[in-house]
Amino acid sequence: MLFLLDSAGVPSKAWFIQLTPNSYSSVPPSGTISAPSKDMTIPAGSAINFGSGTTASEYSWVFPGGTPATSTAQNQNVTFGVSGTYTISLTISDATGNSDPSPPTRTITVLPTSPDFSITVGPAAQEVVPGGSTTYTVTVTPLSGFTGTVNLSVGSESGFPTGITSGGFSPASISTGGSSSTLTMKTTTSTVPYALSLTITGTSGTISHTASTTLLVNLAPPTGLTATAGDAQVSLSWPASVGANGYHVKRATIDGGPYETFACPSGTSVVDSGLINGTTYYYTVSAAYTGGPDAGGESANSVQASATPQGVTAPPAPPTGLNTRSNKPGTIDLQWVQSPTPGVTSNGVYRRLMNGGIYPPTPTYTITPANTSFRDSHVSRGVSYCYKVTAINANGQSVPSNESCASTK
Amino acid sequence: MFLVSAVAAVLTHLSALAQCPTNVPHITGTWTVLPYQMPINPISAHLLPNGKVLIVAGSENDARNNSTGAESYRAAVWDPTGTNESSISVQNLTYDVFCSGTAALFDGRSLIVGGTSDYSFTGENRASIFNPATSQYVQSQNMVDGRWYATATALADGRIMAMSGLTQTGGTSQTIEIYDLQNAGAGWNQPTSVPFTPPLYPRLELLPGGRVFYTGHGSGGSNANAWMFDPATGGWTPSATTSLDRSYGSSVLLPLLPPSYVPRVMNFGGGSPATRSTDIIDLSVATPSYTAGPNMSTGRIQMNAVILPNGKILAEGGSVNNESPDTPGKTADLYDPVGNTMGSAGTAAYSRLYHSTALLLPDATVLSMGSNPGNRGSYEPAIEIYTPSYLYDTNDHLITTNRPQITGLSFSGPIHYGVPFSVSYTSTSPISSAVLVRPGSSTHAMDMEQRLIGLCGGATSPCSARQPAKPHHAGER
Repeated sequence: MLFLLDSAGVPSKAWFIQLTPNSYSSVPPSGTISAPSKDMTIPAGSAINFGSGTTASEYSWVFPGGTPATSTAQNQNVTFGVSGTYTISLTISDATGNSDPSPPTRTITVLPTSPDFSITVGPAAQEVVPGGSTTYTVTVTPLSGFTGTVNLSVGSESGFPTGITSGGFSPASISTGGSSSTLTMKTTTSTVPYALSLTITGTSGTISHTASTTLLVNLAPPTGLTATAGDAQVSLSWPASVGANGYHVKRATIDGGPYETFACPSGTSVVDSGLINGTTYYYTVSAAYTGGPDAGGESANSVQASATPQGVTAPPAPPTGLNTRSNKPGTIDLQWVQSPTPGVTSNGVYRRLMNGGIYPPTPTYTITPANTSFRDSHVSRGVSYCYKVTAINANGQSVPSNESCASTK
Repeated sequence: MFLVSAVAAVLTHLSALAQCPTNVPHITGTWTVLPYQMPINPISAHLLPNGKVLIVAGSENDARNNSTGAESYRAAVWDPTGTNESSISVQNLTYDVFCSGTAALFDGRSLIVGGTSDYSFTGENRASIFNPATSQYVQSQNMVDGRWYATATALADGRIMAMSGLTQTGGTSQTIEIYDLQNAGAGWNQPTSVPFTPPLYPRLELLPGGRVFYTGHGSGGSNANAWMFDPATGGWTPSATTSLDRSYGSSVLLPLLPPSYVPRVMNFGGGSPATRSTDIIDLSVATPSYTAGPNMSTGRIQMNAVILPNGKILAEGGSVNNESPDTPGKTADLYDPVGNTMGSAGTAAYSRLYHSTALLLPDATVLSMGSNPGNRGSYEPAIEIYTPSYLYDTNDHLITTNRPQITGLSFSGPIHYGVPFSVSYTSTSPISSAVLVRPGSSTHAMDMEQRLIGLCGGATSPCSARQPAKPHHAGER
């Protein structure tokens, strides 16, 4: 309904407008590169026609190594002047402004005009815990009739930090024909968390090319967190994580988090106090290292542990397994499993009309001494009612049991 | 000189009458009882794009109508411009849509979700589409879950989501099912799970950006905190904690106004004995929380809250004790979101409690009808119309001809989001704002559909009448 209001606030009568979401989609678009139809290898100085077969509101091409380097046209001719391997991408957007979350790519290999080689390393990153080791695969590809041996070496910008060493390449060099070598990287248990950028250099005579990857040294999360409930507190402990010099202990009141950090001990136990009895708390702990200027890091969170503090003065746990049934006309029978808490003196029965009723603030009936069944004979025939039951002891009243509903015969 | 004297005489006369509080039309508006009555129990009411009111009643809260051999499942279409009961057409349906949820599809038809399987209150998993052009119901694809007391919510992309309700076996559904008109085969998407047990008829509001806010409240209970649902991922995130039980209270997405369209949701009343309080949550901030709004004049459970074209919210009906009529509940309140103040909106003739409904009508008045506390099978048939103060001049005369009139639009047929358009109109005063209001869908103290989007108005967004550019301001009609 469209209303116009005048300067005195008087509205018009409505004019009905139909707004349709046809131009709107919550589904992001998915673009395709139609030309070239597959990855290509071309000599330096030649050009490729790029094109998209997808109709879109906007096109955004990125041509690393190409001229032009970018384009917003649906189709674009691009010249590649320098040898290398380039990943070309196309990101399309629809009329609503959604963009393609996984843009398609083409890999364009531009060959040198004289014999040469290219070098790649994978994966792009490896993660280890202190004391662990990992491997990378280095691949050399001959280009334009290259023959010869490529010698391999690994380094980083300012050398390896303490505890990180290279286990060398196997084999140490790659001969004609194109092949791969395995690089091993090792750490010791005293290695601190670190993100190390590795540069792999392949050299053959006067020709040298490099490839990069990353070694991540990260603490392992503590295993076996235990949470033990006390009166208004929870005691937590966990085994030490190798390499950690501190821990972040986190709490949530919702299963699975979000968590908030409440303690940063250097030891492997902590007591979380000042809690509310009867509330379940969820915990996780991460290992941390706060050492030298280039180091720093925190592991992933451990597996969650939970505990429910219970005070000596807490109200009882609720009854469970409430069942209702109308066995006799004009009555409803209730049965339940008594609260496991000792000293329950009575039970509260709460009743509401099923259709639209709500529970009263105080029990509809209070049953003393405590029992596990009750017949409600103050109900109307042919009407549906719902019930909940509570347990009462010297410390107060429990939260309600499950709800159970029945129709009166 | 003669004219001035005459005015003075009238004023003197009026002040002599003003010995006790009365409804002054240009201050509080007026309540009028129509000369004809509603022939079926108006369990739920929806404004259609042809200006008529669809009433979905099913077995009308009368178990006899749901018993084998005596089935009576009814609905009606009412033309509120009519002058007698012939403006109401009653029809029979093939299954019991009592306690269903209704939201409008983007093509203008209404999707009716679930209903009553039997009066031990198990849920119906059928759904139907009502076509206002033919006044006919066509059964659509079934849901997986039965849903008695489900909320139907139109999403930003025109799909409709169903949440909560009692299933075929009587437990509370903990799934979301989404109906997609463009999914011609299955219709409904595969159910996704809800990580908590919602109350029946959960209060849901579609927000800019497409997410759906659950206030934490419903019909029959409240959760400890509100939640945010992302239809794009099916994921739920806990939101602000709730402070009290607002069972059978109302919630409203406050007007979304230019230039920033800040989404705020307001809860009114609820609980028994019912609270007078309101609370408001600003969902544009990083960590939203509920803060108290102004109190209403009385506690209201089973009330209705209706957005007016000027952005104010009419809070009417209800009572302090559930299903127990009281006098204060007949006096309505009017919330002004600009000043964050509560004022009076006059006094109705009838208490409007359980199974009452209220809707903004196309002529900018408000429909208030129904109520059947206590006795099942009987209900209040009187229909009342609230005429807000904006339709009265300073002399308390009803404004009839001297109001803006829309004469045409610069397009015909459906319009897409983000498309500018122009409006032709006649008006003796300059136009200061233009708003879109989605037609309401009122049942069980909630309106699943109403929302107001300001198109232009105010200092920063003067009216050259431009559609909102963002797609999430979905489906106004």
